[in-house]
Amino acid sequence: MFLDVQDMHVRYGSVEAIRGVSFTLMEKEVVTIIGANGAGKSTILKALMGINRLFSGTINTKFGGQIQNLPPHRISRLGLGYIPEGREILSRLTVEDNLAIGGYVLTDRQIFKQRLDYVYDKFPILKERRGQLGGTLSGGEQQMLAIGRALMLLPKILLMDEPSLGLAPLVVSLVFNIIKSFREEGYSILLIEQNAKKALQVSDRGYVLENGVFVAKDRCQNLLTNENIKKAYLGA
Amino acid sequence: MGLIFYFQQLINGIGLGCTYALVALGYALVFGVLNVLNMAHGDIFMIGAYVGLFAILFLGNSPILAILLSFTGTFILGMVMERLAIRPTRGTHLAPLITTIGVSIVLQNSIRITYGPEQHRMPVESAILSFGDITFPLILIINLVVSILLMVGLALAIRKTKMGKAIQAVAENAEIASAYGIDVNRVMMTTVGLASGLGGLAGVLLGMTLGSISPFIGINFGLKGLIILIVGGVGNIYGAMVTGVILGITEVFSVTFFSSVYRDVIAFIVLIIILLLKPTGLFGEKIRVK
Amino acid sequence: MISGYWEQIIVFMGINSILALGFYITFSTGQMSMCHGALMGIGAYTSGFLSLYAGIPFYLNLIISSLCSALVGLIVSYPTLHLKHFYLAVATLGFGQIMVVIATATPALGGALGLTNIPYKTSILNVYVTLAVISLFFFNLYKSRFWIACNAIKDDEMAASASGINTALYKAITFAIGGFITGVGGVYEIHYISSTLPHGYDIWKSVEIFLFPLIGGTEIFIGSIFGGFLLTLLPEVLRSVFRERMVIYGIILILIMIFRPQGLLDRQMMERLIPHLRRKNLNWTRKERGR
Repeated sequence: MFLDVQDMHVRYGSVEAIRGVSFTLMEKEVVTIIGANGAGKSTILKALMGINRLFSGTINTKFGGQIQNLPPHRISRLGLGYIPEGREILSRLTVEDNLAIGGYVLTDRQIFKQRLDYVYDKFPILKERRGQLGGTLSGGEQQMLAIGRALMLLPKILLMDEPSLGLAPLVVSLVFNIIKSFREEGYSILLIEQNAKKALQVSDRGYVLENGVFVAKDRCQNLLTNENIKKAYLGA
Repeated sequence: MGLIFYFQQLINGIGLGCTYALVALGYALVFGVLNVLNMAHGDIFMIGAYVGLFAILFLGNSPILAILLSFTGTFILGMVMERLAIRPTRGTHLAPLITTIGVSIVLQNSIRITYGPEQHRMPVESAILSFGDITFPLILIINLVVSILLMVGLALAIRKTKMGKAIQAVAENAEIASAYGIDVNRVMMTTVGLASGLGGLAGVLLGMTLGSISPFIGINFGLKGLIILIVGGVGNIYGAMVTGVILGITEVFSVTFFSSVYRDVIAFIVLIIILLLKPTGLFGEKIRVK
Repeated sequence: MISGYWEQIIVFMGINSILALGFYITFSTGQMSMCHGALMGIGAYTSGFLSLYAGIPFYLNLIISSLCSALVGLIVSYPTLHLKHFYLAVATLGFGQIMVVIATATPALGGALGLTNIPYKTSILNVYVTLAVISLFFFNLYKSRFWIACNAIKDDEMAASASGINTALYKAITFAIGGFITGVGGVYEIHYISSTLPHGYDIWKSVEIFLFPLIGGTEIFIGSIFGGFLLTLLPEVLRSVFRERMVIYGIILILIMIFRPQGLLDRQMMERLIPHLRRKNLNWTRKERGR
């Protein structure tokens, strides 16, 4: 196991948003969590990242031990890379500064340069726009910046929250191709998506979240052919 | 009253303006990064002046030592204040306002009890520099040089250094900054420390320039600094600096030409006008919806 | 009878509670006004001049002067209606200070020396009867639709507006009513201490006023009264014990906000103590009454 979540409960005030969720992620696996809006998918990622507190439950990692309720800046240093919903890049900082924030904890200038080159290699458009303010980039470019920022620490697990949200169809395809290439490169990815079809097509296993609990979990090829799933989420 | 007089007044105005600018900067930093209006900032300015007085009286009559000690002392005071009075209440909108009011009361009255509520003379370098017919008190020149160096240094530090970028990141989006390894608590504590150090420094510089201080100087300067913060654009560092200097010059010249009674009104009138016409301030960005 | 010292304190407890309620109603629509000190001053000055130069009965004076405060409150609220919280606070701060400066700079208004020789008209009786009347008003208000609309505006103005509430109207009304009540407090105060200075109504007075409800409890109007009583008593109680009483006072403020940011009294507590406060099913329409 690489990441193992047991019986996660998350509350917003007195409302229970996540009501006992358990899942695992294996090394070099792409797992997706799909579900309708408001089901709580983002909450799970934020809880993994320490942004939301767990009411109860455990999060175990192979590389860092138990990480539930650690502060986010510790969790990111342990190896979880977070790509938030809506990109949330720092619009008043330049592209390069955004990446610098991603690599904030790197103290060795050499390594920092290496990582920067790695990201620019993957996303040449970012190198082209390195001096531009983040707010001036297009939606797709911002998504690449958000991903590049997460890559600066060479995370062991990428947590991607709705990467296709609000992007034009052409750009959405681009983003999913990027995810596919990461998978080939050997990254472990936990993917949250509303675009269920594309998410299931690019992942190994999937979980379906409804009202804070999982109602289905299987290998993606099975979920894609499941009649109920098709009707509810794949627009069959 | 020739050109020389007006020039001297201009320099006086810039000197006063720099004091205002430094105070406003302190508000801007804390509001920009923590979203908190630090009601004790004016009193920290006052504490800086008193630390300077202490240094001059007991540690030798050296302006440089007074300045260094004031900056350091108020920097530490700011960090302590963040940790004890601001961080525990950070979630809500109004609680930090009131805790900083509490800090203000504590600071003002502590000094009043220790030193008494009267004006205290601040023994000062009385040397005078002259350039031909133009003369300036040395202390005013020191004031200008230190203030400008500090403001330029700060602007550069925020843009270029790692900590500066971290501060920018936290100011824009604390959650994301945290997710990328930035210890938000530490950044916030440092920011308040820095803002307080600037305020304390402004206080000691002012004290040395005017020659006398009281436990209540924080009230007036704090209020003006707050107004400059708004007019210059909330959280906007450059706006705060420019507006502060403009206000200083305007006030000095209005006292020269009109009576001094209206000096304090100017700031408020400008404030109202700006708020009615352009609520984001002269250099401001979009209003935060909170 | 009660000794002069304690009589003073009791009177001020009452006056401060009235001031607190004046701020509280304006605050209930989300308007963090920093000019209530000045509104208090309008009431005080108007009533002062009326007492000195116009021979009218005190209670008529009270009404007229408080109406003046209400009017000024209305005037201040108009341009600030569209400002967001922080900017409204600062704009009202500016208005308040300008009023103080005008009073200081205008010799006809007494200038920096203020007003003196105002006749002594305030007593424990009329202050507390007034407080009771105002409290009754708030008690009825608390159970009304008006109050719910105010809270909705405070919570989320856009959502309230989208639900059909005329937010500008409510904000203006609460500012006017708040001005009125605060003016009442000002009138009583000046007719108790007989003289006043303009800078006594500046931003620090406004700060003092808003501390009452924010410390006493913002969820329910009783918090404002409690805050008024508590924060008037506290420095006096401390006076007999410490030289450093104001320092202790400041520390207490800090501690209260850290541990109870909603203020000392909250709605749950009060509804348990005073069952009459509990809101039963609100009868929006006649049809539901049968249930």
